Amino acid sequence: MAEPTKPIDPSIEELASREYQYGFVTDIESDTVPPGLSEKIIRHISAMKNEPEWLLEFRLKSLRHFLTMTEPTWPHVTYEPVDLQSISYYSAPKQKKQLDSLDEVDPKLRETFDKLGISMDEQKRLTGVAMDIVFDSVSVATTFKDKLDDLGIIFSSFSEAVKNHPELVRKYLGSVVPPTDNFYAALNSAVFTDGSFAYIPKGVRCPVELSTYFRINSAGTGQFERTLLVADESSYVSYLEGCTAPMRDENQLHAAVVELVALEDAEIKYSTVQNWYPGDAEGKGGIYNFVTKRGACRGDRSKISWTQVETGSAITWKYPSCILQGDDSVGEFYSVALTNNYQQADTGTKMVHLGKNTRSTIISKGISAGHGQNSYRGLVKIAKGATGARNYSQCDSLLLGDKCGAHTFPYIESKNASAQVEHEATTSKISDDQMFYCRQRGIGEEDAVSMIVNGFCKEVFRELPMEFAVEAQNLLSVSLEGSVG
Amino acid sequence: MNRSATNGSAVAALDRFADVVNSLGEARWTLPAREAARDHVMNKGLPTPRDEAWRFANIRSLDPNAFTTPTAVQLDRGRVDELAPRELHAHQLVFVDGRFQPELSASAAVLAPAIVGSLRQAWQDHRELVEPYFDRILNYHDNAYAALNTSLVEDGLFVYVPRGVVLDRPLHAMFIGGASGETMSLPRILVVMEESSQATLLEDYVGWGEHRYFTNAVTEVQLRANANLRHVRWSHESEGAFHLGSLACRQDRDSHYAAHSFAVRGGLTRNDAVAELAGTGAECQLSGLVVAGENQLVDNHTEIRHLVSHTNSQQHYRYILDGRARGVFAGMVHVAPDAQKIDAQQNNENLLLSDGATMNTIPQLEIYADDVKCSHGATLGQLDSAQLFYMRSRGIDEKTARNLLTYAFASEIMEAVPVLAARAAIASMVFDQLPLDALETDLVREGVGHA
Repeated sequence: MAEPTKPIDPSIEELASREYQYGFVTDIESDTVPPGLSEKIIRHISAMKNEPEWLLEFRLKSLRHFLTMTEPTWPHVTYEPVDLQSISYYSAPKQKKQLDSLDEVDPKLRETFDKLGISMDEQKRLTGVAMDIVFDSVSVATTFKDKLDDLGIIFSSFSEAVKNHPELVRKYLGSVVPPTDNFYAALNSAVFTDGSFAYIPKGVRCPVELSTYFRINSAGTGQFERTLLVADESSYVSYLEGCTAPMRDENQLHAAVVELVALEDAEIKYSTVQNWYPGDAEGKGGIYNFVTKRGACRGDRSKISWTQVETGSAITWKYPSCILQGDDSVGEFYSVALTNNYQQADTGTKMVHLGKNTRSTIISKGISAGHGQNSYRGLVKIAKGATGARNYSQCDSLLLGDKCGAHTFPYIESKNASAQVEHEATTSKISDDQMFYCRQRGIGEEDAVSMIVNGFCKEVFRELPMEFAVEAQNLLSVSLEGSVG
Repeated sequence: MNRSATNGSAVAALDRFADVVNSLGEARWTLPAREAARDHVMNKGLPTPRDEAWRFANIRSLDPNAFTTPTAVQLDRGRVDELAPRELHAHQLVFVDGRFQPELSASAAVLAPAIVGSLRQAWQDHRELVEPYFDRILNYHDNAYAALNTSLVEDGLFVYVPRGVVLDRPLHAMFIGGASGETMSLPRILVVMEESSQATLLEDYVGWGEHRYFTNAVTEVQLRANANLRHVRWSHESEGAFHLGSLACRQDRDSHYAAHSFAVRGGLTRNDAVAELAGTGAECQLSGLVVAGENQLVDNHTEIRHLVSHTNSQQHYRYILDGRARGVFAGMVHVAPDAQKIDAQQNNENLLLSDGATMNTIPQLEIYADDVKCSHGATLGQLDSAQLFYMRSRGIDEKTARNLLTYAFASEIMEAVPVLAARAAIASMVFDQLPLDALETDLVREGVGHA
């Protein structure tokens, strides 16, 4: 048996110190409001964005409620509290005039996204992915608009949607995540600046992947975006979300709200590759990722599937959930969460079974390395009326290194005798047998670990759209290398 | 964060404090511990559903001020013996409302050099053996009820097994509650097992009459190196009675602890069990069976703390819920930093027999070391239709088939009970609680005979 503390192969160690490659800052002029949170600031943001009265009202109501709330302390994470008064709640790259086409996007912005590997050039796109790009507080570009317009699909930045489709936004905004839901949802509801909105009409199968790319650039700001996705009857959409941020010593706050609504027979597939700046090897800096994501399966036979790969952020605090209201509706949650160095993640899901014969699956894979702390926290709730409900949960944790931690806190509640719920969780390290087998086949230590880790995550990766799956695998190997000894 | 709504100073039970202290006599050395515990209750207040650990316990129905102080009563020996399991051949110790009854108990002299008897006596006669352990094993931080016990406890059971001594006969400690009306009794048990000693302890809580009384028990166990304790604990309280039991066990090197708990009858039952594996090679097994019917609530909280390398633990809890019963299981496996080579398993399986029943299960792992094998599993469901079909296809009618399967589900936990007569007694209590038909039970009962 191997010694518990084996010296780390120097070549692997070298790789481990590989820098976060998206940590650069774009030098771009931006409009930033002074830091602080007050009614005045919110009125100012709202006025700047020419928002209708009802939205301002929504914000102010949220703010008033927010001021009565206290920051939650139950997540299994430790961090310096965020000073909400020192954050600037609005920062946008300066635009001289209204853009007519993508060609007019500031070349510096263009460069930034090229560097991130995201081309705004529609022609250069590999496959059909329509993309909305959010830079600090505002959406800067949306691609493939015409094609989507033909099908009646609305996909735009949140601000545009407020202008062009106020009736839809008003109907669904806050209907899944009410502003009173929790501390950060209330904050977001008060100060959210932009985000994406998508509406898929009845019977339409969205032919391309919709995607939003989030980028924090300015210092001293937070990002508070809002995503609202509505899939009307019998429609289908697959949505991708990616994000990065520059390397800074300060901790920046990201508090987003994502709301999904699936009506009868609709299906939403939501994939996230989260790669916010995780802080340096000593745990300095990094993004605080406090996100509320929830989907409502309103209609019968609707389906919402969450897939997430969480490799970034200093602290992640995120529970993409499904409210299974419609009969025979389906909720899925596939997650890979990786914590290395001093990263901490408290993530999981909630599956609330209300309708008859509702089904949910939870597959969560946590990987801890370095001093990382990784927690799965979940709730499976079977209401009295959820006859024939079925849940299967599997939460596996892999520990790499003897200073990290893996924790599991599942809450299971059933009020219906005909429901069937299964939960299992395991925690272990890569076994010596697995390593030995790979090594004796001539596979290098690092490749062997990478292979085993990829195998460990396979159930989740295969749920990701192809390009994302490749990106996720690469991300994982970069984040992990050297953490094995 | 603790946001107790009950103000500690409003705990009327603490009015007893002065009287209890005045009666201590030579046991006055326990005063600092009692004062600290009293202050804890006063400052923190008693738990409310707002405390995470008490969220599902519906503790609101328990008003600690609704109970009086027990008064001494003489119980009829014949009736007491009837309450004990038949043919147990154990060393019987009887406590009424928490107070030791020497006249109803066997003489401790036969057990020498082991010391088995009244805790009150031990405070006076064996201070050097009691002091290092009393109030030193259980941490009442999140459990002000245990602190209430510490501050007011007047008597209990003390078991001391010296080095290398093996007690052949099981100890049967019978705690009779509600003998003097709607009282709060504070049973307390301290078990100290020296190196390489062995014992079996049967802790039996039973109701006298049909009062709505409140049993607030604390058990502390210290196992020295290579000691072995088999511990069976069952509560068969009166209908509507409250039972809170806090158990803490600390284990040294190579010690072995197996605890089997059965909550069969009572209104609100809450058991907390904490085992600290503080020496390499220590092993701990916790198992439990809950059979709850109409308006019963049973809450089991367990926590196993693996403090050092090479320690193992297993937990296995099963619940059968019928009527409008509510079951809660919260199990924690904690592995400390650098505690390597840990094997820990935790299983919780739950059978819901009616639509009114609710089950909350929270199986948790908190792991800070990497070379470990820790797993937990939880299931919630009804009887397997394939199994039912198989039985039906063999000509067994549906009702019998259901009963057999329900019984089989329960029996796996009961089979671990080390003393046969105790196992039979528990099985018969389980039968009485299960919605089994009288006719069919004969068939099932026959099965027990062979166990």
